[in-house]
Amino acid sequence: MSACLTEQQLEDLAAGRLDPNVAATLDDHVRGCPTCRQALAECQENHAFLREMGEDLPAAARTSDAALTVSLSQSILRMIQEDSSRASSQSNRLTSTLPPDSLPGYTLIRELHRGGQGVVYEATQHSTRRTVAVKVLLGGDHAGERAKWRFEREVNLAAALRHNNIVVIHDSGITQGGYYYAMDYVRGEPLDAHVRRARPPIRDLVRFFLQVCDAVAYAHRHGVIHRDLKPSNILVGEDGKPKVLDFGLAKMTGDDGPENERSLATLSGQLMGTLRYMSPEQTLGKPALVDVRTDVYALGVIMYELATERPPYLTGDDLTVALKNIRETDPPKPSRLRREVNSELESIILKAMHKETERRYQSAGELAEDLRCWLDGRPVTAKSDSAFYVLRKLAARHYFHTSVIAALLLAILGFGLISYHFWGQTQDALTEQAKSEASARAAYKDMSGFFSRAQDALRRQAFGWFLLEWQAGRRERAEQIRADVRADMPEHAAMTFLLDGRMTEAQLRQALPKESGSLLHLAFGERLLAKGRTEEACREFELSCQSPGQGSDDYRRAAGARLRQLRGAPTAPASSPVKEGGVK
Amino acid sequence: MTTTTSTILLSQLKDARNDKAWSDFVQRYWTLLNAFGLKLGLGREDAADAAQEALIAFAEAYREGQYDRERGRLRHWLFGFSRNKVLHMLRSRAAQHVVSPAGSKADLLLNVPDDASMSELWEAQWRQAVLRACLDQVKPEMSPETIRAFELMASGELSSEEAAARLGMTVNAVMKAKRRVLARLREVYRQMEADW
Repeated sequence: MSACLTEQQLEDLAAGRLDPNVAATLDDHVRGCPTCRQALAECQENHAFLREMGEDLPAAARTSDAALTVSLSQSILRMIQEDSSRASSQSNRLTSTLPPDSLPGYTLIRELHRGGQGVVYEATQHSTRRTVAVKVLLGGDHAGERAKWRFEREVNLAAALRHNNIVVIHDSGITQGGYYYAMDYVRGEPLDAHVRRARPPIRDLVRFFLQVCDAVAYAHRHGVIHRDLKPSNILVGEDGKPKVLDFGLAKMTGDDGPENERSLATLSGQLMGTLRYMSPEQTLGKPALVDVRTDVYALGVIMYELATERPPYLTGDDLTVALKNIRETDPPKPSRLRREVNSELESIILKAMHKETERRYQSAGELAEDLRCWLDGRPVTAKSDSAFYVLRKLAARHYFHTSVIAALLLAILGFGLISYHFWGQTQDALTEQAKSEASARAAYKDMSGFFSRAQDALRRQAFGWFLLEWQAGRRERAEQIRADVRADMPEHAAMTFLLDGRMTEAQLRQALPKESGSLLHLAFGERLLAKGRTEEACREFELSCQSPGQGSDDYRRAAGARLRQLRGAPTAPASSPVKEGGVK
Repeated sequence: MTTTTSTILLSQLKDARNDKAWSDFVQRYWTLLNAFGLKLGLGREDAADAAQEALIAFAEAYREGQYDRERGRLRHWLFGFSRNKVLHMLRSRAAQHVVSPAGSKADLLLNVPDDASMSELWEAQWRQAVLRACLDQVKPEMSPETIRAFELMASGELSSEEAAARLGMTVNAVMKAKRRVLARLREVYRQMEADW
């Protein structure tokens, strides 16, 4: 019997690439050889499969082995809680096998902590004989040059930090298990555990926490953001001093570039990480928004928890709820949870963890300074949110309800009264007020129509105010009023026309809807009047009076009032359109 | 190692505290969603953002009980989320380039494929993702050299001779490795494709 087919021959035969005579000879062998028969069948099926998959298989093969897959999964795993039960078999694979001499210059003594981010060992540094902690991060063994460079840069920055309350980094490198860095070995316990055990009075607690704030402020001044402050990253040593770990390195990954880190860190953080200390901007997945104020937020939450012994919001049950809470829910006031927390301290804590970065302390240094003021009995800068602010936030949050209530109040009370003052038509206004009240009562039956009319009234009222300010030459105030009117509203365009001399009449005409003729001519008239072209202005006011369009009564009346003022003769405002048609 | 079916994965997601399920879910679909955005012309950051937003939108919709397995496969559902996020991203990018009337705005939008092409592209990305998952499952069953030989050849990077030279194997051994892995991969793929 002839020799078995080579793999090349099997493939060629399966693909039908052979000369028929050669193929026939090989076929003879295959028929009598079960091994080759099976191999050929396999080749044929493989061939069909490759055709079916087209370019997808080469693409999959290209990316399956690349660092991509491994580092993606490790990056994600690293982000998951420092909870060994959550660390998957991949993290076990990394570190269960690191022998004591696997890091040059160190002898690993024992494993101290294992988490999603990596493993921390107690080790002896040969050169100094001192005991250090070595943290080996996941993913480093697959890192590209760029990631290595970035890791080294971050370590250099972090290693330059020298502060009593920051754990010093001595050394770093890359070994078979991944990136590692060696730091001071702190014998102690996490911050929250320490406070739970020691239960210091509130002033002592603040004094103690101030050291953490100072450390963070120091790092910020040196351009290093922590990005992952939480009690487990703050150890309290045997000397009773808090020490912050992992500055600038907490989010370090072994991926191939910042894009990967950015998206994965935020993504996995959002979906799975410790949400408790995550700022609203971090939950939005917009890393560009993360800055020193993100650390300030985390400090605020930590302080809140230390002071009240409870988290500010529930973040453990449901992802959607957790994210919503972080972004929207105001935490219960600390003073209600612990009587020792007075209103000033409460304001400091709540300001630090304000949802809007702009309303937070702008640096850890500012927070520290306010805590010092509180301790010294000096005035603090933090103030409770004003009633106006709280109302505004409430209004924004419950937009519909607030709008309806506002519309009610506005229509019943404001509409008539303000019309009365603005248009200077006492008698007319009283009638109008009665009318609008009647109208409001009728409209109450149809809430949506009512709501819309009230909004219109508000805009007309705003235009009235605007005219008063504009005519009086108070441009800044006029501009403020314009800013309060939605840009897509006709009144906004008319205000712009009056404020900005470059806007032509044609442009305004184009910007306004057909039914806004009265407003259009009123605006034309006002501009002409301001230029001293009284006669032309009067003609425009007349046109305004005559323009049809629902909801323009106020403008027609205003134009009528102008005419009376300019000509000294009464001109009745048109209560109904004089002629049909659009804006002239 | 057996890959969890999407049915099981989704059922595990119902337990809000099951972080491992979330981790698996993100690991499984992120690369796919990201690649889809990149193929449709998004930059790296935008593609990552779109992938992220699609996953979050999915997570929120899923938690709200909007996904009904009976009414459609996960593949199609995720496609909807991803497609919308990518298109939104393309539109907003186009809107930011309004300064040049004949410039990038038109280019960006004109280059977006129609629905049929997008769907085809999605299917291709999905197949690749399933194939990668199959490979992950097959890898532990074979020696690292066998897998390496397969990858070098299947990816089209090297010919059998080059792969043999690089790995210090004979050409025949390299080709045999490819045949064996491919046969196993095919088998796993048939089991996995329906419910990945």
